[in-house]
Amino acid sequence: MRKRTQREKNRFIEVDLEKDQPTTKFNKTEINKKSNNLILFENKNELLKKYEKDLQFNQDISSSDSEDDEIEIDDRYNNMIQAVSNSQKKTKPEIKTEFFKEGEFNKEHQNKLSIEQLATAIKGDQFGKLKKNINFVTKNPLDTPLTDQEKNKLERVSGYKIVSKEISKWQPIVKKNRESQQLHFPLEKPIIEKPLLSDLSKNTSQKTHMETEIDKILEESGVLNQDELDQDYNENSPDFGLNENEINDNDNLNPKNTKKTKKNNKLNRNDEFSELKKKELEDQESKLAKIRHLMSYHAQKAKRQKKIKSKKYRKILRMEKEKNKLTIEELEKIDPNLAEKERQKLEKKRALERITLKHNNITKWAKNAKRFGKHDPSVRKAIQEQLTMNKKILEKIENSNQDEDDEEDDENEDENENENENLNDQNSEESETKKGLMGLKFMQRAMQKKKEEYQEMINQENGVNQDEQFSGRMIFGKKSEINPIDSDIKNKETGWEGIEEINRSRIVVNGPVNIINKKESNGKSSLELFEVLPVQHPEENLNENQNENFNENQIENESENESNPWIDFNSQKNQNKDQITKHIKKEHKKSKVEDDVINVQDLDENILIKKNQSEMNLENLNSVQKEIVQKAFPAEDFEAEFEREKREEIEKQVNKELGEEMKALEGVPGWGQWSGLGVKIDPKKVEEIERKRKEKYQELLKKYLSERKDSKLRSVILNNKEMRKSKKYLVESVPFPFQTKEQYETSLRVPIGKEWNTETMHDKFIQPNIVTELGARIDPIQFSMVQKELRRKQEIQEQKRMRRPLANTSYDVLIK
Amino acid sequence: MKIKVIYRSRNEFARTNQAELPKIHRNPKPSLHPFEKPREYTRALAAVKIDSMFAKPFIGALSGHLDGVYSIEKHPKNLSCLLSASADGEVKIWNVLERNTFFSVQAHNSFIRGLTISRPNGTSFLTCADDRTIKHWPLNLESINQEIVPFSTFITQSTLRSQPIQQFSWETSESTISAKFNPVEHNIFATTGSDNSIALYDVKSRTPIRKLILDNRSNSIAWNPMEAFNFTVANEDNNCYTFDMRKMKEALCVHMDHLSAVMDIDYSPTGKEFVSGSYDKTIRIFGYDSGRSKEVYHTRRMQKIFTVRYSMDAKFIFSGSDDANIRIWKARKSEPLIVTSRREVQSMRYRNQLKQRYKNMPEIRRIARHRHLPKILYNLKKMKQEMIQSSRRKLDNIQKHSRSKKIKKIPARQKFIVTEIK
Repeated sequence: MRKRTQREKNRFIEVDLEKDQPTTKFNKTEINKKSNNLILFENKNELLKKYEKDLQFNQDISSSDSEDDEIEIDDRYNNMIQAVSNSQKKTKPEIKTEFFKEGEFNKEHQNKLSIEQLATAIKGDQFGKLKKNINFVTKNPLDTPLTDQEKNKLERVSGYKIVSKEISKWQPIVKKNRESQQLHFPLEKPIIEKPLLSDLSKNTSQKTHMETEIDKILEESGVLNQDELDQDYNENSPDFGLNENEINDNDNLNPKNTKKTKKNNKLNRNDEFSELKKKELEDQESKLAKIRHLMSYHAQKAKRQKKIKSKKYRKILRMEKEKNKLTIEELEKIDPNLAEKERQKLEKKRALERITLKHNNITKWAKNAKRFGKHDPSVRKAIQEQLTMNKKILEKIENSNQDEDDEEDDENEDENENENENLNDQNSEESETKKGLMGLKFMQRAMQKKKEEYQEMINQENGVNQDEQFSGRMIFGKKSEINPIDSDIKNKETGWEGIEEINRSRIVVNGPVNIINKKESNGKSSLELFEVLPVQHPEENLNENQNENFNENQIENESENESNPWIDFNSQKNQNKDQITKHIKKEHKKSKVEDDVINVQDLDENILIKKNQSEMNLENLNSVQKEIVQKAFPAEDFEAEFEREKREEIEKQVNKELGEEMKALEGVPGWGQWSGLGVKIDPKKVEEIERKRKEKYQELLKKYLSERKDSKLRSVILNNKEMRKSKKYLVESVPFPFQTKEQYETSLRVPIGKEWNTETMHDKFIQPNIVTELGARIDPIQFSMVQKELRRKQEIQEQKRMRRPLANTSYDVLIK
Repeated sequence: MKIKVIYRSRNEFARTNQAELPKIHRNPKPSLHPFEKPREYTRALAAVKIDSMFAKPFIGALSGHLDGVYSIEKHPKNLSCLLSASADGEVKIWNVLERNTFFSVQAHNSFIRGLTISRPNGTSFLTCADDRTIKHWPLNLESINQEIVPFSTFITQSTLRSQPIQQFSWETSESTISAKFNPVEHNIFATTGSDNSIALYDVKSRTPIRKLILDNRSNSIAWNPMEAFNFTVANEDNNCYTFDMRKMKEALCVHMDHLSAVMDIDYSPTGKEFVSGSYDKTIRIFGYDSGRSKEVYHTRRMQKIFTVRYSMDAKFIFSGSDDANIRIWKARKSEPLIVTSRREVQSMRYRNQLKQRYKNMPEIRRIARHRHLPKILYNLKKMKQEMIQSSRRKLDNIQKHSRSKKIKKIPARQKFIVTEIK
């Protein structure tokens, strides 16, 4: 047993030698084979200890051969040592090809020779250096050369590391591109160089093919010499090449024309191209320049004057214009058409003045001025001015054609019509020519207002006329209000109650009025007459009520509602005070449901009796109304009903869930109990199930009552059903990039349409993430390109930085 | 008689100079424009409907090949030039604008498996075919009528094998299905192999650098032209997977919607979306970070799709299919191709923004997501959904009822990865 363990130990030690403390190895294949054994040992230290022990043990062996037991263990090893060290014992030399005996059971060799051991064999002084070297080598052993596989693997790993490190330079660029709001492809835009001005001028002086040819001909014919020609081309003045005929045209100021003419001119340049002509042309040019200068001066002046806002300046300007204006007579001589127009204008003005009486001191200002500014001379003067103005306007044309005016005076209506027409004309004119000041919106609005005013005035005038025609007691509008008490008094005196008020929407009637629907011959029924009945005593009235005074068609007005828009309660009040019952008898159409009528009639009788007790006031009436409502809708406890409904709603839910729960509780028939025909059902079990059901029911009820949001709201049932129609507009869950509901909602909150945004913002909102152009080649990204872009941006930033301090300082100065 | 005419005075609307503020010809008073949200919602709804009403993505087909088109390549400089290679060994160079060919060459006598064009100038192109040769051809669009001869021919498998400049190997014998250079970092390229692998290589350090083994084979690979370290593979298991080459333990995104193996993939030059063609006879457009496709294109006559390409201006898609046709599609289904006025552009942008804004509303979402699919595909889709759900349910149940809670759910972004070989 002991031997075996020893052997094993040795084996492991050797492995350990090779693996943990690398030494020179002789056989590679062996290592691989041995590696299997490594698994058995876990502790490294343990191994080391064993190794040390073993070494000692080996030394012991080598020093003394007496221990026979252990010779067997490593006999081959010892033999070899002995052979090497020339030990005294001489044995038969054996031929060995391997360190160990080859054989079936000797696949794994035992101990190996180490260099140290070999070195001990070297004797002699001259080998001291070699020994040292050997010692050094054994202490600092070289790495074993790697296998091809291992080498390749290492190369691959390092290569991968280098490549991935190198390619990571793209990381920030990729990140930036992914996060950018908009990417415009191709990323690198072709640089379009703007041509310099000098280049352009060079081009202009270049000769075209035709020009050179012409020059050639000219040169050959001896008309021009080369120097002159060159001079010609170098002169850039656009007006130079003008023809005689064209100079007279003012259109020549246009440089395009001149260019055209330049070419023509060159073609026409013939023998008559003399110095004289040149001079003439120069003169013309200077003239034109002068005109141009003047024109620009005037344009500038006009522009400046147009901008002056001073009222005084404008007034003076206007006065001046007025002064310079010609009278109509003078105009007639010059231009009769224009005079006619002017006359018409004045006429219109006059007509307007007649209508509006604007300068007749009827305006609010004039009234106030008359009242408060009597003693102020300036105000008085102003009033006087107005009056004179009025006179002036009215007079002016009287002088010009009196006959017409007279006629106008006679026929008032005609004139009105004329004025209307005039106004209409004006309207049409305005609509046609909405330019300049009148094109502005607020001016148009003001005009519209004015027009309406006029229209109203005209209407009023017409209205007054109508009033004069019908001199009855009908009064319209708010003005027609008459104090009801007054009329009451009147009525009392007369004993009649008449029409008090007639409005468009409401007829207020005091006292008994019989409204008769007379059938006209053509079959149409119309309200034709208000027949006023004489007042009756209450006793009589009562009698009448009790008798056959009520037909089915006759309905007491009060029986309809309090809110009947046709009847004013004020009048009723008055009546009650006077203890007068009133009947408003109407003829109703027969289409009305008879039952209702009867019902209401019954009620009415009651009320009438009550009324006759003469203790009624308005409050009583209200209570009566309530009674009516209650009678009309027979007593029902709405609240209780509501409660019931709510409870039903909850119970429905509870029962639904209860059913499912009970199913689970009872189980599937046949599972857990016998089922089928003739099986007795245990009543106890049934009872228990029933008990459980009740318990469950209560539990669920409680749960639902607490869960429902409307459980504490007395008069509300919240519908817990899913709304199908609104489901379309609901997102089921918060979509991916968003984390909360609020985030998602905010993303939708701001509209991006044109209606809700300015043009620029709208434009910004709708920018796409990626823009590509049709036909623009997009090359793969290049690092040099990116670097160029970066450099450009840096430059821009630097430029900005250069500018910034300037801005800051100025700002500081401002603050100080 | 007066005749009222609607007219628009230029003076009222035209600005005299740039500095002048534009006039507002409306009343901005908020009370005059109530119900902004409901109104915008209805507009969004209309926009979504309009979008699908005007969806006419198919532009036309380039026909002329006699066999299925198995590879297409776009010209890196010329927008109207397109190269295609068919199974009968013919290469055609198309003028897309005129929809005819510049010229065509019988490049090989066998199935052309790959076609690529030199970058960045596109002055030559390469073809590889089943006859174990690679040919390098000149490409000059100016001299069309000349017959072209390859610069050189490389023989790959023979005793007379041409010597490569560099060789990369993984100590295992697998065949490479597709390879693509990174368009941004030119020293890196990626391949997909028959051992269900994706492998990365570095030309600079002359080594392969990383390999990833997946559950299924990847048919094609495409690098993102705007994000140097990201690439997407088209996998046989109906999905596309986007990876960050620096973190290969899991995919950045799993793009699923295809109903059969994805055969080819190509990124839009903007890097924001990619197109994939599938064995299920559909083309799908995915967002670079979206799990579901934005768009699905199909026509009745289009067969299995083997190759797709985005045009260089990101406006069109080319697809080559088994039916010997190349089809041209719009990248955005309802975008007009004619020149539009500013007003029109503005209103389109407004509509798009509204759509984006209200995309989560149930009604709008439903309309926006609705796509017509052929009946077979529709049924297949339903079946696939059911399968996924049932497997998920099964896993849930196992998890719920297993005593030891060791069974963990593996996220979908890792599930398909077998190992990462360093």
